Amino acid sequence: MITLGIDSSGRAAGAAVLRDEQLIYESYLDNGLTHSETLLPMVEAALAACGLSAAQLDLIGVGAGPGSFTGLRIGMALAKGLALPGGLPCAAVSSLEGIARGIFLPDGAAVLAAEDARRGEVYYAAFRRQGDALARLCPDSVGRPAAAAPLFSGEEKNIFVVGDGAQVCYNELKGPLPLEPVPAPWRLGRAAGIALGARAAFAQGNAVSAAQLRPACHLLSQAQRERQEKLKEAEHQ
Amino acid sequence: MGVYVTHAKEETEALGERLAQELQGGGLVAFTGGLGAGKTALCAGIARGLGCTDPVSSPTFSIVNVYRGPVIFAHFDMYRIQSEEDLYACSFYDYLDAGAAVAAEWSENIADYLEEPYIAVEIEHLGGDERKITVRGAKSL
Repeated sequence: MITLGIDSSGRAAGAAVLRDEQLIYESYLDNGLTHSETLLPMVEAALAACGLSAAQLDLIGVGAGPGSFTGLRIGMALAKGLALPGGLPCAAVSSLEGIARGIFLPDGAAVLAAEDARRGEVYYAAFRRQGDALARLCPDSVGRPAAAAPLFSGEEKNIFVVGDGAQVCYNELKGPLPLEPVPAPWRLGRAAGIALGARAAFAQGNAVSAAQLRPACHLLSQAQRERQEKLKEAEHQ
Repeated sequence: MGVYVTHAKEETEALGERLAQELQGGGLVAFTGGLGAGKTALCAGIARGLGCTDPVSSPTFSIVNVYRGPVIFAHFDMYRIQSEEDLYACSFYDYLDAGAAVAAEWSENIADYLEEPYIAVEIEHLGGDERKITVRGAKSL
């Protein structure tokens, strides 16, 4: 089974190819947001290097956010375009899950994936490695890093922190929690993480058609949720 | 803070050209001031100062115009932007993250979401061709 993973949801873009569970190709580019110009050539290079045509793919995984509005649509459009002619199954993989799957975790260790959501907030999700599986500890969320702290209460092992919001989380939570920020070269999203997430989604029956592939909605900040609730209440009165 | 009174479109553009010197590494200029205040003339000056050669026009209908050059200049009109989702979906953050020079007309609409540092420009139409332009947050103006 050949899986193509593509990611342009964050600052870094990439393409990866898995043959079953084996990573046979990966590229990574963190050179400014030029994904509209670089992602397609990266996928082309990946397929050429692996001696594959798009028709030989079995599954396409794409980073589905949270992330940059434009970046998400670049990745989605490319995934849909590749999948449509052959009716290939696709998987919209949480970009936070992709980042978490892109690093090595010792068995039993937890990881906090965090992307900068501006004004001191982060998009975040937490996971724990259990044998070969990665268990999700919370849905993709947005808030101040402190909101994630209760997920790890009593944690004694190091909690790995990844994503471009890692530093913000580390600064705010290093007192109460044993956090270990992953070094910068391994901190951003990798297409291999997206491809691995796509395989997991496929195995759980969560693959979709190209037409059904959608980016994640923009998550609302706490302040916005409160404002919308107030507006709704006002409408009802 | 600097307060300038300009008496012709050319003078407003020249002020924009000076403002561009502060935007060579990207950054945000947030405009306040109503219709016909001269924001587009100021943006034309910024574009020239940045070395962007695409023609500058008001982004009223497009929401954002992008002018190409050594520094990309993204010129937004926030008049129809109502929420943070709108702001996200019009790619405002993407241009900021990409290191572009970004100008936002009608920044009153996004006041809750502006992050320091940025340059605030208030334009008042004094009648005729006279305009009072107040610049805050710019080092050289």
